[in-house]
Amino acid sequence: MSQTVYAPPRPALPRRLAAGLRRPATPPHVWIFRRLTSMRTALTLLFMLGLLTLAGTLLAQVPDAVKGNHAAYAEWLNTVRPRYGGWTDILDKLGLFSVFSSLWFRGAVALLTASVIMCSVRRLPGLWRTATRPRMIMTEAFFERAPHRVRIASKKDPGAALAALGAAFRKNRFRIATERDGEDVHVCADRFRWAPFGRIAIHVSFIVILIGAVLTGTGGFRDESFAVPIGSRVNVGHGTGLAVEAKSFVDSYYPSGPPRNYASRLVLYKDGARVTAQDARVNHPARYDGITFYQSFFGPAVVMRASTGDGRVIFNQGVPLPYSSRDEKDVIGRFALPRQGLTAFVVSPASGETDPGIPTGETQLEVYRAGSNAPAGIRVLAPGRPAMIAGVDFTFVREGEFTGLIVAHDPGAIVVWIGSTLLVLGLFTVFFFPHRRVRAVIRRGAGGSEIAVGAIERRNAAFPAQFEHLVKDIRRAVSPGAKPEKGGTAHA
Amino acid sequence: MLDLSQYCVFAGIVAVALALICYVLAFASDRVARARTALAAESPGGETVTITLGDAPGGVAVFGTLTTWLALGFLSAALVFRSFATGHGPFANMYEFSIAFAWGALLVNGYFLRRYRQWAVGVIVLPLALALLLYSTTVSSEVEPLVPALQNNLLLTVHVATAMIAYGAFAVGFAAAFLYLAQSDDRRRLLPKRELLDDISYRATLVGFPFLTLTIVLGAVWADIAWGKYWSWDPKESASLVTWIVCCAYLHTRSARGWRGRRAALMLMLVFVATLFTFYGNLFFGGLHSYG
Repeated sequence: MSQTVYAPPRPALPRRLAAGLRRPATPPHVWIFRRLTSMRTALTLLFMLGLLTLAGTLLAQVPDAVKGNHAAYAEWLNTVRPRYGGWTDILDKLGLFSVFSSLWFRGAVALLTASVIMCSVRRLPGLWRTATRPRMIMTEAFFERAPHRVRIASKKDPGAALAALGAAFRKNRFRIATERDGEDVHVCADRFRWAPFGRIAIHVSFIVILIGAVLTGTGGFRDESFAVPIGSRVNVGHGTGLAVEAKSFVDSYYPSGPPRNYASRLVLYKDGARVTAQDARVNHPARYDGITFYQSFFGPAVVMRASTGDGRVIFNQGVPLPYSSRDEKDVIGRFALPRQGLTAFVVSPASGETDPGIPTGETQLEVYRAGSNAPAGIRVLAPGRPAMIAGVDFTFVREGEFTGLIVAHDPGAIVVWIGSTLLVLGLFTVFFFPHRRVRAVIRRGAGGSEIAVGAIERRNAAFPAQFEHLVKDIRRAVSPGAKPEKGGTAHA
Repeated sequence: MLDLSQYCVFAGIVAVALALICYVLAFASDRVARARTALAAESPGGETVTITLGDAPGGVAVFGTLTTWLALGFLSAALVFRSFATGHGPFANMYEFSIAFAWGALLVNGYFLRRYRQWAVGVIVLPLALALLLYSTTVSSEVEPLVPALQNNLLLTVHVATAMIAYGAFAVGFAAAFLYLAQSDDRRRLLPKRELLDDISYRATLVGFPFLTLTIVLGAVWADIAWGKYWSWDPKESASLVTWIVCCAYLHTRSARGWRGRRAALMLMLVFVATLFTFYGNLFFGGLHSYG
């Protein structure tokens, strides 16, 4: 229960006098240090992050693919305009459609990180002192007023009483330290004395996870649209020297319709040499050399062949068709012939759709010269029949399938896992193994010794029972055979 | 096996309802025997602190407590039978989530009932559990086959089970905080003392917070395996982060700023609102978690 203290109001000083007595201005670096180590600042930042995260949950967020593309962004903004009306532009200006990459969010995280580092550094010496060099000699007032206390008379002499007391503490898994003060022996008993360092671990873990997130954002690579036609080999790029060949792709469904499994059989090549063959399934990615291949999507593909006028084949592989036309009636893919300076787009009717311009079983080819927006030629190709465009013979060999992978190398993930482990271990240590400290003093008394035991453990309703249990063991150890005194233990 | 699970759910609903009726009767009648041990003494600071040790339920409340345990037993059996029938952890759709949430609330309530012997907290937890169980009867209980993204039995079971324990702990924290606000100036004889309620709500959060953290971390591990990214700012991820942040703020305001009592109770209300938002959020916001 809290105690209300009455404080008489201070007499107000005349304004001019008060101005004269004003404290000297605090230097800016001291002010910044004070603010950053203040719990009030940390809590304000925490609340701010909570509100921003809530905003990020409630408000529509710009998809990653749209970010950075001005026209696509404007188009996306128009799609959410009916929902937010006149607020759309205000929310946009405030950066609330991309909360988690906004200046507000990043600024709050950065300041909170600084605050966490400073608070942890400030607390460390105190925690170390408490764990390793506790105050050993306690005053009589402590044993008279400790919230949990007991006095026990023992017929044993102080030496034997100390041994018995130590045994009782150890039975309750307390570690004891002793110090003599004249004839008195002071005992400091601790259980889980290192547990408070879990707090430091928790705060450090926050920083470690952030470092991991930064590494994820800045290092490595992530290709979310890595499509490999079945039977073809595609280079991963990004300096990995890896290439992926998709041997097969399977999509299976439950009789009731929902998907059951998507799986690709992949063969990986490093600098042209086969290194491994693995299956990539949802929930079971293929991994090699720190690169992960996740099964992500699939779709139709066409196998195309291109040859120069003298019959030399310059392209012969599957072309995935992962994009859709605006009306979603066609699927589109592209491939490049860099030596010829040509880019070719392949358009086929989407599954179950018909396009009056492209007969079923045929495909349309649009070829562009580099730097030109006008096509060098557009032809509808039937399988096996070559057509010459821009001096190259293009042949639509057959229809096929592609498997879509996410290929990622994330150097931050391992750091995030280390931080997460630290966080979870720290939390469970702090909350489930709290530090307990009980003190005792053994004095020579009439007919043996007198033992006083005390602990300051406030506002923990479970502790009194633990203290009672400990005291019972101490009593049994220091005065065996004696009947427990009623009301011998006090809890305030 | 599925029928057996369904019967257990119905038995659980009846048991929760009965337990609730017993508790309400215990409140209504003044015949509840309450054994209170209050020990008071002067602390070094000169303030008087009273801690109530063990309020043993008596009379009709004993039946309430027994049926609460029975309900926990039935729901545990229901979840086990359903796991056997489906071949995976019973956490794949809203029907299973609701039963599991009610189970989590009863489990943590049971833990605190054993530790503090304060059945009154059940007066709030049981209606919550009952509401969740009744809600489960309104959604489809059909066993749908798992879509590829959910086909990870270990993570499905552990990730969601830890979430349910965390949610259950926050439900108990909310219940104690609610009673704290109802127990104005410790005059309501049948309610535990305010200090004890404050302590129960705090301890429940101390259970909930690490489990919520574990849920988020395990979720990140699973997301990394299934979606190729440990964090995608999916609405459910963000909502769980909001809950985590509010909870974190509660713990810091309490330990560093001394927020206890009324202000702490209000914070716990917020934690529970955030929990419900996390639980039901995917129904409204879609995202990667939009199963069930």
